[in-house]
Amino acid sequence: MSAQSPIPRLNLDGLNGKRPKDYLVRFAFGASISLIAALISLKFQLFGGMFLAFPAVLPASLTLIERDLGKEEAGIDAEGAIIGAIGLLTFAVVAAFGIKAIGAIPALVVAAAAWLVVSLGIYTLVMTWRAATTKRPRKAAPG
Amino acid sequence: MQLIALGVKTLIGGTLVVALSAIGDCVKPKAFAGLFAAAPSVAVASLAVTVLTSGPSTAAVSSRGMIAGAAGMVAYCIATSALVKRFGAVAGSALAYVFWLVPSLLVCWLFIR
Repeated sequence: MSAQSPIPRLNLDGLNGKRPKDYLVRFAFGASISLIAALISLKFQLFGGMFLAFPAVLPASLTLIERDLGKEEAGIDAEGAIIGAIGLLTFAVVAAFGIKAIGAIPALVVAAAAWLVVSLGIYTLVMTWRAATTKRPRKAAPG
Repeated sequence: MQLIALGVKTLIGGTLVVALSAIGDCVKPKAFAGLFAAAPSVAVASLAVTVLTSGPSTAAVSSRGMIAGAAGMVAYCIATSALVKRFGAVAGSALAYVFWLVPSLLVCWLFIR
């Protein structure tokens, strides 16, 4: 991943250069996937459920990042998405088993919290491990 | 009723995708922003509406199917991170859809069906 500080921080400059069209494309993508998942679920619930985890945001984000910051940064964003996807898998498992156990709405809330906790937890672990294993340049000996 | 549910899922799904990708645009570094590209935006919208319109048992079946899709999403992101650096964002992320579809179908067929 990148050499810059791994500590998350706000960067409102990231919105600069984004056009309304960029967000419209993302809206269209997200809305289309939701509609496709819903239409398939009318006949095949299990198969339709698969599309609830269809990669909708990532491709749209990557094209914009590549346009604004280059191919390398787009690759780094995709690496971060691997961690988010493991969180997404946790969301699905918690929702699938939790809906019957604790009720639908509490299960969805717990599942969303599980996505956040798992994603942030793995991100922290990966970044700590990388910081510990990255070789720092040695200071020159005095004299 | 079914038509209204379809419309609501579509609208909320699109809106949540925009909201989460805007959060991704507003944070640094890009590795952290990437987390939000795999957020369960479409899933939260669809499952919540499914619970309200069709009941919890239907939502439970959908979320079981989602386990397969999410396993595919992990494979998709791994493939994309490699393919984007080689082929660029458009071609790389398009090629990687194979890596979502095949693992998703396999997991669905072998473990969840």
